[in-house]
Amino acid sequence: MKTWLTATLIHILYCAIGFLFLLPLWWALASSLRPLNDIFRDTSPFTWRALVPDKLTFDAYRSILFEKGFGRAVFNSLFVAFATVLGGLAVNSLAGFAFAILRFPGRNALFGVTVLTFLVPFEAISIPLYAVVRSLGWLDTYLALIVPGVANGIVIFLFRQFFAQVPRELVDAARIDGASWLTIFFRIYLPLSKPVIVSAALLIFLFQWESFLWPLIATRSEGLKVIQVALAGFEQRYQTLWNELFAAASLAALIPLLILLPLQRFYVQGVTAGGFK
Amino acid sequence: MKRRSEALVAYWMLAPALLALGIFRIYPIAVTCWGSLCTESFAHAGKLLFVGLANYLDLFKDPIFWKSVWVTIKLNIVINPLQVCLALLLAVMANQRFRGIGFYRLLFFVPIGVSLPIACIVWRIMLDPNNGLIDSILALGRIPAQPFLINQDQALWCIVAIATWKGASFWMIFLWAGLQDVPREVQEAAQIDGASQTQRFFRITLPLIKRPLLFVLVTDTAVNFLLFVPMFLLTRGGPAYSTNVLMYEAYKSGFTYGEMGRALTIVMVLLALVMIAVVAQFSLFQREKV
Amino acid sequence: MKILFSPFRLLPVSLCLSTAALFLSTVLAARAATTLHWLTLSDGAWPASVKKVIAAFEAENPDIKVELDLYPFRQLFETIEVRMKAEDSDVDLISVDVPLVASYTVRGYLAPLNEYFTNEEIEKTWVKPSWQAGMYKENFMAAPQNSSSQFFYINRKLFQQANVTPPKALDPGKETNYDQIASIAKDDRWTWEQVVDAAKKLTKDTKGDGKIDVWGFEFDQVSRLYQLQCLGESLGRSLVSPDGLKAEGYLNSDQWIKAAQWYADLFNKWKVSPKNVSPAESPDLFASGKVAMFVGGEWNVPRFQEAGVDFAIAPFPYFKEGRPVTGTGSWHVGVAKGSSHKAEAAKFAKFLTEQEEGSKIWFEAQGQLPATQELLTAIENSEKYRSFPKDAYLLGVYEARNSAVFRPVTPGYLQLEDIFFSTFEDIRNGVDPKQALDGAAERVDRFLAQFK
Repeated sequence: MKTWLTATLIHILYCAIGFLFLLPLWWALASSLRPLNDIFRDTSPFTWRALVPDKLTFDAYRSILFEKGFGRAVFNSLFVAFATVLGGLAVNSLAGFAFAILRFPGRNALFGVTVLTFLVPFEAISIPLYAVVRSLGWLDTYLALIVPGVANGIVIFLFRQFFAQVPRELVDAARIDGASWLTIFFRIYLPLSKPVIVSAALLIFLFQWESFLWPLIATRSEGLKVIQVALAGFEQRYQTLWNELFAAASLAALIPLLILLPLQRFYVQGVTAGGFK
Repeated sequence: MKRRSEALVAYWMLAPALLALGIFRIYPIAVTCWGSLCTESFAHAGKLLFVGLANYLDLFKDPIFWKSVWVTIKLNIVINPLQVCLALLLAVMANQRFRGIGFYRLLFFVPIGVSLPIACIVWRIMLDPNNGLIDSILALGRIPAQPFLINQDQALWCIVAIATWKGASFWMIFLWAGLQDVPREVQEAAQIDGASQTQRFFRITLPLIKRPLLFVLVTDTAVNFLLFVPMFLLTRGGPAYSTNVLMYEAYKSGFTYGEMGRALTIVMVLLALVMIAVVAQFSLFQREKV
Repeated sequence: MKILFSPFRLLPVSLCLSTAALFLSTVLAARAATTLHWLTLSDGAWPASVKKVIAAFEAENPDIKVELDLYPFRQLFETIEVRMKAEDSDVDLISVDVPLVASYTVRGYLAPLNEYFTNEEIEKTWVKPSWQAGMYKENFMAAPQNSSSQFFYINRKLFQQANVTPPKALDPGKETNYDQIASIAKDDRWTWEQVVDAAKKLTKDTKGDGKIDVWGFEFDQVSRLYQLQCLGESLGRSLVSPDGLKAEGYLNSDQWIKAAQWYADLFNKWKVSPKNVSPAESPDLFASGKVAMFVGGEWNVPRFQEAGVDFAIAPFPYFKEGRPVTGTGSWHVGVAKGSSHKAEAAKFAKFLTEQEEGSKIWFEAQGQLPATQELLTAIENSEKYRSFPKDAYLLGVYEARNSAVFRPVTPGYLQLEDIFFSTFEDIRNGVDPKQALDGAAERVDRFLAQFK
């Protein structure tokens, strides 16, 4: 009896939290399928009708994908995000490994500097960064969007924390066996780090995916617009195109979720937990 | 010999990252520091003049600045522990094994896809004091309609709630990753030895995820000290400057008023505050060997 | 050797060479065409309309090309800040929101245009509020591209349902002309007092659940300086001193405290206006029939028509003991200080804003109220604007000539506007007006001090 009750309570708890997380996206999605002038009809007072559109229309999606080139923005964001992830995983994991495992003079100081780099807000460095990228001749190119995002202090920090958890004995044993540091990195640490690699990839991906101010000032061609900049375009001076905004926002939200879905399995512990027994 | 070659390997591994950080972060940060010591001369149509600490002195004389410092500290003392604890709770919940957990986990992930500006827009509509969803639910419990974002005393906490809606979900992922490294055998052994669930959690699991926990705490703190998008979109620092955090005051000074010198000065102050918080967190964990 | 340079060989060779040189130089000359970059808006139909003007300009000036760097409204300001501060020399023309002329000038973003426009030209071409707003301390800094006006929109159905007599207005299905409209604006203009009286009767809880479903009155740009400036100005006091450097005694004058109190009462005492509605959402309320009276810009007309609201257009209200004042001003175009093609940029600016051809194309494409006297007179006399809703233009022309007041010319406009907005939002949410305005004036003066 008791276990049946606890099980139901647990399910209710999970459902409540899940619903709380889902509600805003659901409303945005529902609104994107309604005509523009209907969207706020059922929000004040808020009734269940706001969550279930009575007049279904795909006008908003049609408009953003075929008339406003939102598809291009999606492609740009995906391309930039994936490129940054590939570069970022390589560069930052190596750095994290060096900080965690290797001993060298200036280690703490350099690590401190690395942490410092993510404590300064982007808005503060946007103007000098703009000048730097401009002098490199990268303005209005994919390079401007990708390269500055590759080396990321947070991701280095992440890798360093996780790599430091691996027992030292493994390293020592491998060194005695004559393995080079690179071999240790590739053969020992990386295979143990699937969850952190996915987390790091996610971090880099989302960082680029949600990036707004930098793409706005670093590019000006229509063809290089990314998702968040495109989203801002729906809030115009005299009128906000809510239905299109929500359509674009729903697409922008679903894509990372669809990517995350299959990656979940890297998190679930296998039977050989930890792997270094 | 071995030590020198180890250092050499380390430098090679660090080179790409440090080079990129140097060009795209350190150099701009240095310019920013310099910028806080300069101001625009209006007599010479905007030319930059070095004024030393004049910007800082002006700033310290401004009562709104001090109010911002207070609001920022108030916000962070609450939001950081809150988000980390909730993220930990969610991570533990996501780590359970029972039928349907995959579906629930997916729901827990949803806020990650929703960008912060969109989350703010949608939550603002839910928190509408005229007829919003939350007030309608409160009405069911016979609680009077709350003003939420337009009230001095409630606005900041509403923003905390909205940021936590997104933050707890996001940081859960890293703590969940950390939990994967806690071997089940150790847990099971403790269970056999008669330890209760809470004891197991606090005595065994928690110490084993110290490192990821430190990561989440430090990074979340940095993110929250720099948080201003909800203030920008929802309250513009109001009502009555009750949500005017330092970063919003800096953003406003730099991008709305065009006063970059003032903006960068505020950023430097903010940087000092964040560093204090981060160093404190590091040493707190360092005491227990992280 | 000698044979190579024989005249029989030389002549055809040199002919070929010179033809080639001629051909090459024309190609190079075409390539040497100047390309101007214009930082401007990406909103709505603006880019398409602007491109029409550019096409006509390029046809007349084949060696100048104009390229657009487009940004949404809010981001345009941020981008101008970043790129001007980073001294980007790739910008030649900037779209300047008119009240920012002074601010951009003192910060060195704009190049003076006095050598391209004579004073006579300036005064003759545009209406006074428009060209005055484009000047800072005797220098002409940005040319008016268009202007704007404010109307008083009435939801006729809601008035009928509540049995309230609406103001005399421009009604659907009626023919009219400039003189008729001028007389309505002069003699039958409602006062704010009348608005409140009507609003009280029009605010209703139609569902009986204790929550208001239809509001009597709403501002388009709630708490924004552009619209609310008209309140204090109507009572006879401007927001800052004439030199734009002092707010104390102006922003917190008795007239402004009175105006602010009236504003506060709308939301808190009479409760005829909803709280927590942003300027972005406000027009949506009128468009969905939830508000009976709405004051807003002329750009709302097509929007409300499309939404199917049964509305009429009346003149913007005023305070009984004061005078009618309407908001005005829109976009100007300026030449960037760091541009290396200032003469060409000024030429384009002239074509767009002053010359008959360019300004006409712009007006017909975009439809915003023009700033040139010529176009305003043309509208007054044209047959096209005699029926609803196009007759609203006639009202716009009247207001531009008689009641329009431009926003304060001050280098600290950005600070003023931002503090104004926060202050009036606080007043809207219940903070005491005198206290709020005193604090605001002090704060604004703190910022203005640096410009002295």
